[in-house]
Formats: sequence, structure tokens, C-alpha cells
Amino acid sequence: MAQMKCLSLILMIKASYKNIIYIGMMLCLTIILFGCQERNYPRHTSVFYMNDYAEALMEYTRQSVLLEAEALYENTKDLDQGGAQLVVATFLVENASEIASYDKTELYREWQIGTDDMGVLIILFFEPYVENDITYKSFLELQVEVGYNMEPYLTPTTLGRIADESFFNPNYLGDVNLGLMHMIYEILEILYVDLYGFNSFTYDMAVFEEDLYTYTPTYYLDQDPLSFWLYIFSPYLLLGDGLGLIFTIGIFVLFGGGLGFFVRAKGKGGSSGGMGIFRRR
Amino acid sequence: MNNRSLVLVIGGVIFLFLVIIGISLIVGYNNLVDLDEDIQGKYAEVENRLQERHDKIGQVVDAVDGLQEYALSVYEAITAARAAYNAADSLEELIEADALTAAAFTDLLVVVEDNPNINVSSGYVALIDEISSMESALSVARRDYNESVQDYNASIRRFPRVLYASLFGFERTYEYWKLNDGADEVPVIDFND
Repeated sequence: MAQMKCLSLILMIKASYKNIIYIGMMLCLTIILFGCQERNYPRHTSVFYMNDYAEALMEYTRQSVLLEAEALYENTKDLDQGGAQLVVATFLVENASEIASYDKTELYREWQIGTDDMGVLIILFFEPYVENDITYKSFLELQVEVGYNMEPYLTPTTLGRIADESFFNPNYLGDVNLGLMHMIYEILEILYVDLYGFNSFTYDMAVFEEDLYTYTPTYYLDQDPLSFWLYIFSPYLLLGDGLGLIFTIGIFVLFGGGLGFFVRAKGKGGSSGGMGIFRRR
Repeated sequence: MNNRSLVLVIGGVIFLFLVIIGISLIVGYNNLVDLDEDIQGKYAEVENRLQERHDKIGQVVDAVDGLQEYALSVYEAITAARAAYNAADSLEELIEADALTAAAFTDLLVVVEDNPNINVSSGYVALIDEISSMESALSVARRDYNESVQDYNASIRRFPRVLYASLFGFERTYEYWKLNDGADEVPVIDFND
């Protein structure tokens, strides 16, 4: 009798273990299917905020953008209309006509930038040109897309003025590193002071410029699109931070690892409606 | 199996069938309501964007000095488009007014760019930024609206939802927001030429 009880207990444990494995596999399959959704654009990088796919920016610029973008989200996430996200992407195209195949709104929506549609996406397009057997990248066009709820704060007029005074500032002699960072600082000043009520936001372009040309990188940001596996095992994938985290812990317990435990696979679910600016060189 | 058991089994099967039908009806109805509401929301978004553009385009005309003198046809096209927008009280008329405004605005940009006799005020550049952005937003809003209409129209024609659609009065199909080819292209501003 005791043997029978013991046997039935073992069978129950085995059965429940099988059930757990089965449920885990179904969850994995669901997530993989989500991961296989049709995509028009590359996934963002593992650092989310900086996506230099044209490899046109200097490492100091990349890290500075990342630092400021992370700070923006962290400093505002608990405020009213907080959790703003600022994302930069660069793309290399064969010529200006190829830019038409990129839709900034679609890209914004795919990456889901900003909490409650509070996001900014800055896209820079470059084209390659060869001189003395060396391939350079020439800036072609700037596009900015803002989330639905960011529209009143970053109007096209404001963005156009910022772009003209900072990104296309003639003092920078066409150096996009300086122009981009200046533009981001100007946008951040509006967001911090006008939108979130901070007393001030200060920056010094002279300091940035000096550091830009003297900085020796000790590490480099990963600038490849997020891999499929990191994407599907990310705690942030579709399910959001809370559920995603629980799911990832579940995967970790069941299969011995959540590969992308700290990787953000999407933004905070934001969407946009096409507002922003287009500016050619 | 005695008669009582047989009745219970048949009753159970019928009950299960009714439950499935009931859940299916509720889910189907709610889904149609969601799709219908989605179209209303997207339509409201298009209307908002049209109103924003309508408000701005008057300011653009005011910022362009000499438009009546050097490009009367463009001025008249803009005036006609604005009048058409004000008079529009159906979807078809709104689409027509939208197309007229988009075409007139594109002509205005071309005229200002090509005609050195036309002077623009300092606020013109900012207004053009606003209008270009609104054209972009309108293009997105129209596309979103058309996608919602497509989802809904396809949904009410598919089986089994076609049954719920006729049962719950969702037989009406929505019209797509059609524009002439190229009418919704967003002009890119290039002030360095």
C-alpha cells in the first residue's frame, strides 16, 4: 500500500513536471511567434537609445547620447507624463532617393518609443562616397518624429528652429557629432525645463567638443541590431516590465538561462502620428 | 446506459453547445464594436489633422507677399480648397476638400520656390515646417484610417463574423479615404538651395 502511494506520488510529481515543461514550451513558442513578426526595419540595438547603423558617429557621441537618453527616462519616469524616451538612429543609403523607403512613423511604432507616447526619434541618413580609395559617409537628411503626446511640446516650429540653430550650425562645419549633440541638448532643455518643471538644464558645447576629439574609448557600445534570441528572451518583450520579468525568471528556472535578462527589446509602448520635421543637407 | 443518463449526456452536450455559441456571440459582437470604434477614433484623428492644417494654411498665405499678383491661380486654388473644406459635411466632400488643399499647397510651395518676385516673411519657414509636418501626420492618419476600414470591412464579410454582423446590425461598410496619386506626398524642406 505504501509502495502504491509512493508510486502515485512519483507519477504526480512527474506529471506536474511534465506540465510545467509543456507550459514553458508553449510560452516559448508564443514568444518565438511574436519574435517572428514581419519587420520592415532592423531591430534596435541592445542599448535601445543609440542605433548607429550607418557607423557614422564617433564613439564619444554614441555614449553621450546614451547617457543623456537613459538619464531622461530615469529622471522623469515617476513624474506626470514621465518616462520620455529619446532614441537616435542612423542609416546608410545608396542615394537620397532611397530615403523614401524609410518611414519614420513606422520605425517609431516598431520600436515603441516612450511611455504614453512621450518619445522622440531622431533619424540621420548618410550616403557613402569614395575619395582616394577611402570610403567616407556624407550626411544627407535629418528626420525627427515625436510621439502623440509629445507634439505640443516639440512642435515642428520648435524642432525646425532647433535644427537650424544647432544641427545645421555653420560653426560646426558639417560635423554631425557636434550638430546632433547640440540638438539633443536643446531638446532636453525644453523637456526638462518646460515640460517637467526642472529649474534648469545646462550643457557646454565647448566642453563636449574638446572631449569629443580627446576621448579614447575603453569600451564600445554594441551597435548591431538586437539578435533574435536576445529579443525573444528579453523581459521587456511585449509583456512589459512586470510580466516580462516574471516570464524571464520562469525561463531562467526552467531552462537554466534568460539570455537577454537585461536587454530592452522594445521601448515603453509609445506610438506616433507623423509629426516632426524633415531637413535635407 | 439508462434513459436518465442518456438525457443527462444529451442535455450536457446541448448546454455546452449553447455556452460555446453564447461565448462566440459575445466575443464576435465585442470584436465588431472594437473595430467600429477604432474606425471612429481614426476618423476623428483625420478630422483633427485636417482642421490643424486648415488653420495653418491661412497663415501661410498671409506670410507670402505677392501671391495674388504673381500666382493668382494658386491663390484661387487655395481659396477654393478652404471654401470646400468649410462647406464639407460628408466624407466624400471632406476627401475632396482634402485633395484640393493638398494639391494647392504643393503648387504654393513650387511657386514660392521658383518665383523670385514673391517675398516671404520671416515666419514663413516655420509655417512651412508646420504644414509639412501636418501633411506627414495627415498621411499617417489617412493610412491608419484606411487600415481600420480594411480590417472592419474584411471582418464583417468573413465567416462566421458575417453572421454576427447581420445579426447585430453591423452590415454597413465604410468608405476608404482615397487621394489622387502623389497628393499625400510630404514635401521635404530644403532651404540651402
